[in-house]
Amino acid sequence: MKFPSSEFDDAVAALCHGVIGDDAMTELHELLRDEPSARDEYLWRVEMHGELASERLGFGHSAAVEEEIEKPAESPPRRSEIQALRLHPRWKTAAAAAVALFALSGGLWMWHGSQPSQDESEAVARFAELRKSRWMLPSTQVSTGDVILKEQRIELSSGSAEVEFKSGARMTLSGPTILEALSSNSVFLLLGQARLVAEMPESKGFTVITRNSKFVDIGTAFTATVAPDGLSRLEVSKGEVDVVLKGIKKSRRLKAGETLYVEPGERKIVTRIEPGDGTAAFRFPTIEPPSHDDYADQASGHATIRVARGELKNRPGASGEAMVLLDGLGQSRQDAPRESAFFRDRTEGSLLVDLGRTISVTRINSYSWHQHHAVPGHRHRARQRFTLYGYSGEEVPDLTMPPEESGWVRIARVNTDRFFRVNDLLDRPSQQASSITAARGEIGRFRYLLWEVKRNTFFGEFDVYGKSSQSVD
Amino acid sequence: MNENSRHPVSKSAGQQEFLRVFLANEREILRYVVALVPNIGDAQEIVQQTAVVLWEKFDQYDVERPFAPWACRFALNVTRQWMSRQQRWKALLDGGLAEELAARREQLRPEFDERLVHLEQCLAKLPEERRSLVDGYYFRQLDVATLAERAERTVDAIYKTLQRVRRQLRDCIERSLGEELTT
Repeated sequence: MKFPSSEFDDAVAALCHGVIGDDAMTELHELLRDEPSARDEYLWRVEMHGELASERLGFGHSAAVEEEIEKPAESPPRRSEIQALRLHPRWKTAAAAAVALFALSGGLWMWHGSQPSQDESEAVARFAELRKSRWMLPSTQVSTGDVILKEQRIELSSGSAEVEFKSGARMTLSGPTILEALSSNSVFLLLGQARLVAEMPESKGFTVITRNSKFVDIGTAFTATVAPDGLSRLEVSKGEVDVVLKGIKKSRRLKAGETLYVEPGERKIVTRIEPGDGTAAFRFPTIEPPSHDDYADQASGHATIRVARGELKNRPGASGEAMVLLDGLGQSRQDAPRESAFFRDRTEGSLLVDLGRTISVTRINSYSWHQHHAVPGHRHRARQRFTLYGYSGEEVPDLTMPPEESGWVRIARVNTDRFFRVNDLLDRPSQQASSITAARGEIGRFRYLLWEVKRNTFFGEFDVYGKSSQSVD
Repeated sequence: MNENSRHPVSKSAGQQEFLRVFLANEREILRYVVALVPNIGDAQEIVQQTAVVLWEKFDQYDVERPFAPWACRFALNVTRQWMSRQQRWKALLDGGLAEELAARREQLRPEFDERLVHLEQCLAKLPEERRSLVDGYYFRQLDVATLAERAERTVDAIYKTLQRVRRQLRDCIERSLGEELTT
C-alpha cells in the first residue's frame, strides 16, 4: 500500500466502519509503521471520526437512543436540545462537565448552542415527596411541589424522591441516582434505581431508557436499576414490560415476577435468574432443566472441567468431583453433597471448563440446589454468586493472575441473593438457575469458560450450548 | 501520591465521584481509544471494559491530577489486551506501534483541536441528505443496513458516501483554517 493512494483512503474508511479485510489491515499497519506522514494522516482521519462518534457519548446518548427507537428518519435529533440538557443552570454538575469537556475539545461544544427555556409550560413532572433527600451538588435546593422541566437532570445523592409525571406515572428514585426527565412519559436513567408505578391510562407506555436498553411499561409497575459500569437490571412487579435492546429491533416482553440483567457492551448479554420447583426434576418458569444435550455434556466428549483455583471441600460432607457439573443432571435431592461441586467452607475459587476447541457459545446455564434436611432456613449454599469469563485462545491464560488482566473476557456477573432480595433466610429459593444469553446470536466464541465463584455454592450442573465452527479465529 | 488526596472509602460517595469524573472524561477516553481501534462498536466495548478497571482502581486516583491522562493509561492497557485477543490486531502490538500511535496523537492533539473547532460549521454546510446520513450513522447509531434501506441504496453505497462525507468535512476544515490564516 502506498501513501497517498486510494487504497490508503479505502483502508482507513473500512477500518472506521469495521469492515476492513485482513490483507488490507495488514498492509495498512505496515504502512503506518514505515511511513510517518501516513501515520499523521491516519491519526487526523480517525480523530475526526472519533469526534463525530463521541457526540453520542458526550451529550447525545439519551436523545440519540430515544430518537433511534421512537422517531422515523426524517426527524433527526436537535442538538441544541441535547446540549440544553447539559447546560441547565439548576443542575450545575452537568454544566461543570460541559465546561470540562469544552476545555478538552478545544471549543467544539460551542456548536451545540442555546440555553434552555425556563418556561414552566415545559414542566413534565414535579417532586411529590422527598425523604431524607440529599443532592450531589450540596447547594441544590429542592422542595416538595417543585416542577421538573423537560430535559432536566435530577442528581440524587442519598435518600429517596418521589416524582409525579404529568402522565400520572409515579416514580420513586433511591439515591444515588442520576436521571433525566425526557418528557412527561419518559426518562433516561444514567445511574441508580427508579421504581415506576404507571396505573393511569395516560401513563401507559412510560419508558425508561438506559445506555443499553429501553424499558416500556405496558402494565403497571417495574423497577429499573443501572450500575456505575452500565449493568442494567429490570424487575417487573406488576403487569408487563417490553424490553428493547439498543441496536436490536425485536423486543422481548417480561411479565410480573420476571427480572432481566443486561450487561454493557456490544453483545448485550442478558441474564435470567429463576427459582426452581424444589424437586429432582429441576423445573423453572422459563429456564430448561439440566440437560444431556448441551455441548459441554460429558456424554458428548467435547468438554472437561477442573478446579482452577481454590479447593473443593473434602470432608466432612465432601463435595463431588467437578465433573458432576457436566453429567447432564442436577442433584437428586435437596442436600446431596456428592452430587454437587462446592468449595471448602468460607472459601472461594474458580471452575474452568475447556470446550476442547473454540466454539460459538449461545447460552450458559448454571444450576444449584441446597437445603438442610431438618433446618428450612439453612439454604445458603443454593445462592449463586459468580463472575463468568470466556477465552478464545488455544492456551489457557495464566490462572494466577486476575482474569481481566490475563486476557479473559468478562461475560456476565450473577448474584442471585441480590436478585431475590434476600433479607430473611427463607427469602432465598433452595433451588436456583441462572441462564446467560446474548440478546441476539452468540454470546461469543470461546474455548475456555471460567466461573469465578464467590461462595461455596452447591452447584449441580453447568450447561453450555453452542456449536463449533471451523472458521473460528 | 498524597494519601489525603485520595478518594473517600464510602462506596456510595465513591460511586458518585467516579461517575462524575468518568462521565466528564468519557468522550475524551473514547477519542483516545478510537485513535487505536477506529471502529466505534469495538472502541465503545473497550471503553466499557476500561470503566470497570477504572472503577476498581479509583481509590488510587490522585484527585489533584487530571483524570483523562490517568484513565487513558488504563485504556491503553485494555486496548492492548483487546488487541492481543484479536488475531488481526496483533500486528498493531508488534514493535510497539500502538504506543507509537498513542504518543504521536498526543503530540498532534493541539493541532487537531484547532482543526476540530471548524467541524460544526462544516457540518452545517453539508447538503441535507449528507447531514442526515451523519445524523443517522454517528448520532443515532443506526446500522448501515438500516440507513441503506431507508435511503433505498446499497450498503456499499452508504459506506462510500460516509467516506466521501468525511473527506468533504476534512476539505472544508482545511479551507476554514486557510481562511483564518489569511484574515
